[in-house]
Amino acid sequence: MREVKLKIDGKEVIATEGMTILEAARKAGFEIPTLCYHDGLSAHGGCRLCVVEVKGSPRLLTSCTTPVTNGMEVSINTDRVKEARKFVMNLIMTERNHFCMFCEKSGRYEETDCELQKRAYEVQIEHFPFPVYVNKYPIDTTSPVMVMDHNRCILCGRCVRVCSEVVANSTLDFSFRGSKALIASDTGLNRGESSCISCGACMQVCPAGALFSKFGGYKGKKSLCEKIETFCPICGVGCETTNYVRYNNIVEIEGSGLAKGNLDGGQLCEKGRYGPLMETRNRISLPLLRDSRGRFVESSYQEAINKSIQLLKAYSPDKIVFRVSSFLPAEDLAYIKGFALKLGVKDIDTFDGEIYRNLISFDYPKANYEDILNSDLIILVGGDIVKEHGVVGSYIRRAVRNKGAELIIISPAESKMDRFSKEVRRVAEGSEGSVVKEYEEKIRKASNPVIILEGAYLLKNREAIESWLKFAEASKVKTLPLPPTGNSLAAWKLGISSKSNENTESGKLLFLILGDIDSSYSPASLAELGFEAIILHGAYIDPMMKLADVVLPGKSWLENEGTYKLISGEVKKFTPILRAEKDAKSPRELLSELADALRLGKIDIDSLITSL
Amino acid sequence: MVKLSKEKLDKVETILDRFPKGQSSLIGALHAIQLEIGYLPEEVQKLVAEKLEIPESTVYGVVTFYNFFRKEPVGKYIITACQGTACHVRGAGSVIEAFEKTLGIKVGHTTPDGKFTLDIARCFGACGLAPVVMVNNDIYGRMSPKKVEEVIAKYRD
Ligand code: SF4
Ligand code: SF4
Ligand code: SF4
Ligand code: FES
Ligand code: FES
Repeated sequence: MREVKLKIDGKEVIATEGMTILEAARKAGFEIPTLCYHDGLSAHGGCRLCVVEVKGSPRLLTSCTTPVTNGMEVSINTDRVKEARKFVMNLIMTERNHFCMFCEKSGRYEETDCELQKRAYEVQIEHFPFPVYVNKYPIDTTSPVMVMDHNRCILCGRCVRVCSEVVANSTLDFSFRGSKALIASDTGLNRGESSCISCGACMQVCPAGALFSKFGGYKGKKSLCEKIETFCPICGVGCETTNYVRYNNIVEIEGSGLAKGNLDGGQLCEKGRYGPLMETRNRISLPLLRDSRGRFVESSYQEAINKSIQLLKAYSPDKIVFRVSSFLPAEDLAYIKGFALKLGVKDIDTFDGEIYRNLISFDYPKANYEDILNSDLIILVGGDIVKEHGVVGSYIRRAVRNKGAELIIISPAESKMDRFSKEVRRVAEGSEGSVVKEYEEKIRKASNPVIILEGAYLLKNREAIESWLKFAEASKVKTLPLPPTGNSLAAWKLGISSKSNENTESGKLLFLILGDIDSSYSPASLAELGFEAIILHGAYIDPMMKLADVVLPGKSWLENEGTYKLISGEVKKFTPILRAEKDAKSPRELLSELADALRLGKIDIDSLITSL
Repeated sequence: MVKLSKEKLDKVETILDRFPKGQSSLIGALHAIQLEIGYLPEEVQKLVAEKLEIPESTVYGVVTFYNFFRKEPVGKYIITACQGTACHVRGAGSVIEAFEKTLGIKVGHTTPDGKFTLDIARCFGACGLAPVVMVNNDIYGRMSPKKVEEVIAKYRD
């Protein structure tokens, strides 16, 4: 790339060809105010706040769209420029309703969550010199996750661009024009009835009070929150997040990478951005014990520990069974494994162990995200990827929209992905394997076909998996089975499953470690297996508690530090977002207390973690 | 919502077959379809999006951007009320309101029987007669809310 030399406010600046004035200036440490511009999106050049003076040009130029040229002399802060910016801000502020004192995002300069208001402070708008336009525009509250108040929209188009460029869902566009202009969803539908997948990317980039979260209200400004940078471990994609927390409450979760130009474009899916805020289950907050008359009573933490030790001592190792969620940090998984080994227990499995055993018996080439982006034929089999692994869905849409890839969906249920496919094949749940034959020919003829297997129910179904993976193995078609939980891959790698195949569990002790998931994830109905005694450790109230002898409160993933193995192969350490209550422990904290009491000796997990 | 007949939808499809996929075909295709069936309802916009393989929001954006494109059928009689300065000052607002009330529709819409479309304009150059209303090519000057029923009656056949 060729070098371009220019002067900004008299200072010599070296930029590269193709850069805009704004990019060159920011790189050299100058600040130019912007509104419609966003780092992670294409330039729009609509608001005109970023104007600068360029020697030789009679008009002021928008720095976000004007490319640098050799010898250019730019002034970014002359009186003329300042006046133009103030004029533009005055126009924008009086175009619709920007009475900041009634706006959810409003605050003092250091505090406001509204970029528009911040810019207004910067150009010193103390009053509105023009009459304020008082037309009433609609307020759309139909989305389950956000509100769109058109009265506060400045028509900067950031939402439109992020929805099409990053999320590749293209729900939004401008409609009408002039003072009637409105950001529309599809053919002018309410957002809640449109093709919107509630990923919230538009809400994150909106610089005004037009798009805001339904869950953040009255919890305080983001600027007053503690800001924790980590990632979302829910599904195994591992999208990077910035978490705003106040008084141990999450106010908002944002994607971190929006400006970085990385593969996922910094997006999140609905589950990642809003999931923790939409949680409705109740926590297990106190240890519980069954008393001699069979009633559940609150107990002290120590009493519950004592009872657990008593039970573990009362059963011989071959009469103890561990059933474990795989959605736990690797440290917990490794510790559980080490604990069971030291106890001499052989029967230990994760709820998705069956899936692992299904998958490893085939040797097919693995697909990665790049393969999806470069594919000409994508076969999506099973559950709803928009709900399960939302951001992977965006790679599929990008391939379809930008590269003309063909998408075939074989699934029992409707999905917001369907509209990107010319062939949606409805099959009964679990019979996805029965149609493989019909597509073999087509897949073999494609140059870069990719098969994506989605949904725990599908991967659990031996027949369906066998049909697809056998074909993938024989025809060497790249395939990506998406793991059922965010740390399935670590659990599988650590080799947690060594399940016995007995059908009856009577006379046995079940140690059930649920973490954040509930016992219905278990392939077998645990309640019907006839365990004699049960120790349950988990974060949320669960139906299995009815049968338990001891219940111990667990940390939720939000509170539990630890390592996850992502679909990309990357191993990442999660930083907790919230503080746990005193008695809520991670599985490794709980088990190490039990290990001490049972004199099991030191359980070493370091080598296991590094082997991930 | 009125549903288009199968026959009309087939016509739309035939027109769309002539256009290559992609956004560059959009305006041309919308124009051709409107010439053929008169307007561009939601189901047509969806079909256009599907056939040209572009987002529905893009189609809707263009349909609503140009006044030329109509989302609703036009009535047999187009009532255009002037809202220019002169007419405005002399009470065009209440005349328009009276039309809306009498016809039971808002400006920009068409009565369910397909007879009347209510529209507004900016000055017909007949300010001396303000407030002015046109029904197709007939001019009615010095309008008042009271005269509205009378004007409409002439076209009720
Ligand atoms: S939430 Fe996501 S899919 Fe919905 S309109 Fe916004 S960016 Fe598009
Ligand atoms: S909703 Fe927000 S992001 Fe979208 S155009 Fe309006 S102000 Fe810009
Ligand atoms: S795609 Fe997965 S990792 Fe990313 S936000 Fe959604 S649930 Fe979290
Ligand atoms: S930031 Fe450059 S025109 Fe809006
Ligand atoms: S203002 Fe109505 S005719 Fe001129």
